[in-house]
Amino acid sequence: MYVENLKNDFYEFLSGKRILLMVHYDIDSICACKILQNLLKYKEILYTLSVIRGIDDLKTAFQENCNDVKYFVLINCGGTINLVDLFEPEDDVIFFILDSHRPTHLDNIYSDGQVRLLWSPEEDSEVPEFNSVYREDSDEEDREEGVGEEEEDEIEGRAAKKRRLNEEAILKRRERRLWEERRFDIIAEYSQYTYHAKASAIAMFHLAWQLNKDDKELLWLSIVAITEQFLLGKIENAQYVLTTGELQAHSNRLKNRSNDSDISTSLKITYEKDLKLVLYRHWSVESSLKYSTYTACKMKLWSHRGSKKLYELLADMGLPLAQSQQAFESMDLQLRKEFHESLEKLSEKYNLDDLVFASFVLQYGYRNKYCASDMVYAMLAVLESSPKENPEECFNLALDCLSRGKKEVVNNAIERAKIITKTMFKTVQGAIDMKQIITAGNFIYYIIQEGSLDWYMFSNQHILLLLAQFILRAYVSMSRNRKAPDLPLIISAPKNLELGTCIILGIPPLRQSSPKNNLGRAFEEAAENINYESLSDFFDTSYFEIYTKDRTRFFDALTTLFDK
Amino acid sequence: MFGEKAYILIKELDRSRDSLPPYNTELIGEIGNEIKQLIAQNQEDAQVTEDSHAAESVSYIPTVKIRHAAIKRNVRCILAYHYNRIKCLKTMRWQFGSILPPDVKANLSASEIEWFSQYSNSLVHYMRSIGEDGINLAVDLKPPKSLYIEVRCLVDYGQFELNDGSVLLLKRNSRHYLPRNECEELIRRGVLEHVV
Repeated sequence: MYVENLKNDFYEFLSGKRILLMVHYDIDSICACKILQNLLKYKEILYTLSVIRGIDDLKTAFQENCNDVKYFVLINCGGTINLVDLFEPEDDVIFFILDSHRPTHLDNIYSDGQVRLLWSPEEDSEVPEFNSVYREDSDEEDREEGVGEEEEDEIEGRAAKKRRLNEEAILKRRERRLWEERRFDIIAEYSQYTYHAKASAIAMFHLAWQLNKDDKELLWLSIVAITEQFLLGKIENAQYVLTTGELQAHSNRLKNRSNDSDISTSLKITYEKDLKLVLYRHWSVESSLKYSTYTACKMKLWSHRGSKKLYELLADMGLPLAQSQQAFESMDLQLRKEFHESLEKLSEKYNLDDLVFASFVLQYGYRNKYCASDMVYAMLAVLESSPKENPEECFNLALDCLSRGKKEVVNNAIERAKIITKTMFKTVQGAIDMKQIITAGNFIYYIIQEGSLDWYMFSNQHILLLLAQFILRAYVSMSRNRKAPDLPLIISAPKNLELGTCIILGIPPLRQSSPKNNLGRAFEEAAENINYESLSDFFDTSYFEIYTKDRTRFFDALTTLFDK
Repeated sequence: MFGEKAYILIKELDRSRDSLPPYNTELIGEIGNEIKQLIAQNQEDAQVTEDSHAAESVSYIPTVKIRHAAIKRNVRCILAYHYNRIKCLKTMRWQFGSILPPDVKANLSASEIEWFSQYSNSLVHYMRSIGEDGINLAVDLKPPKSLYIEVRCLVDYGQFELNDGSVLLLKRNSRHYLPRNECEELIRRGVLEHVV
């Protein structure tokens, strides 16, 4: 069931009640959760927060709290699975879902009030009609009617009646079988592509706007969420541009001219053109150019020729080598100001066309200037890069990262993000030099071995996604295979050394500009073909989890599947 | 050297700022003895000075002055010692309530215990006199800014029942948004942590 009027049917509905907030472990949900927490304070809605990493966590959290709480709000989790089957809740329990994963499960859409979706039906595309997916069971009734009629009948007409009833029954059964086959096809077609819709934080920001309780902090949170979706390739370029245009309108509206003039206390959000260089404001120019996915792949910076090209680029820009190896903030003021423009001017010559994209920069106080992508990388580093901390602590750290008082948290996170970027570059360099990216017919794959250095960094979802995109781009730029841009990439990394499991991710080919991903379906089919019980409990089906010892069998099954 | 023992006494109190060390009866006794000794010596010398006549006028006035300064120093140190201990006890009363934990009680002298009970009584008497049936002023030492606060659970506490009957599960590192008066007790015990 869809809830269109968020203000009345969600916010006012929950006023004064106790709820359980189940928040998925990614940046968009953390931002959405923070905005929602801000709003819940006004209505004195008591909440408990629990962190969800997968379907198992969802189940545990529900079972622990189902006796005490009747209203559950799920952020970025649960939209794509059948909640009623999973939880078997009592009748007065209500679930509110705000999930950017698509396609939404049909049982959630057609639920009669127990599961409520907090977006409008237009955001779910190509939903099949109710009648083609659900139908009342009329078979029992026919059989009963048939029996009743028989008893009333006289004995002579019984044989004739029986024949007629049998024919009807056979026709009905045939029709039902056809309907079921059609239903199976419809559902398969509906759920084969997984993709993401607009960020949940933006929906929450709209609610705040309707309640007139929005301000620049909440706007910044939604900016970080949409930037995350863009940087991780979850949404298309066009959608990103549209949404940022909308957010820019909001930022203009929320600008407060009298307060903003005092720099030390005001919070300023400016809409600027930004470069696709990772963390360049907090790093040196040379490192940032060398380790960013975009520039590295366009200029092939892992090879010797590539590094010469890099120096050429720096020389063309008029940036002395010594300056470019220093931290960005300590470069000459003149060079720093001209950095953007000189890079833009040279972008055509070095084939760096899409280097510039529109983004937002946050400034508060005299020393704190962060652009949205900096925040995204910092939060990724906090959430995913340390092997020892448990998820709740990382979650709390990430929430601290977003609050502006804890600057050391953000700076530490940025340092870790730099290490992660460097490691990714080195991994890709190694993979290409040692030709470890293997083509298997209709797809390419790459396996991170357990013994390699820093394997633990890639055992989490989003960093693995960034690495996969880097590898795919690098491979396509190096390969002479004409089919390379059409091949999807499947990457595998060790997940849990004790249990011996590894995580597998599939991403669509480069030529396909939309991020719709049908590899989840491929994984499921391959697993069925080899009769494998999947361990996967991720919400995003393009991630899969299997035992490492079965990996070769699984890949063989995938190869046969793709060859068809 | 005069005043050394008093210095040791003050140093001991200074070393343990957060808790009260045991009441150092012997050191106080020793200092008391030193004071008495000094007074006796002073009286002698003052007498001698008085008695000495113009002929062999011997003046022990400077010595007397030095000893007097030492006496005043010792008295001041003892007073400071007692005053600081009482101050510490006062803050403890506001923090813990009128029952002291046994390990603190073991460190107090008899007169300190008596002072504590009398202070408790006057406080209770005062708190009962304001408002209709009295307000417990010790609940919020800082003025609360909001009715509800966000807290984070630090240990695995288990089930916790709120005033309106609803039950919460407090797991380590879980975050909750609860009414302030329900959480105060747990925050003081260290189970919950207030998140700003």
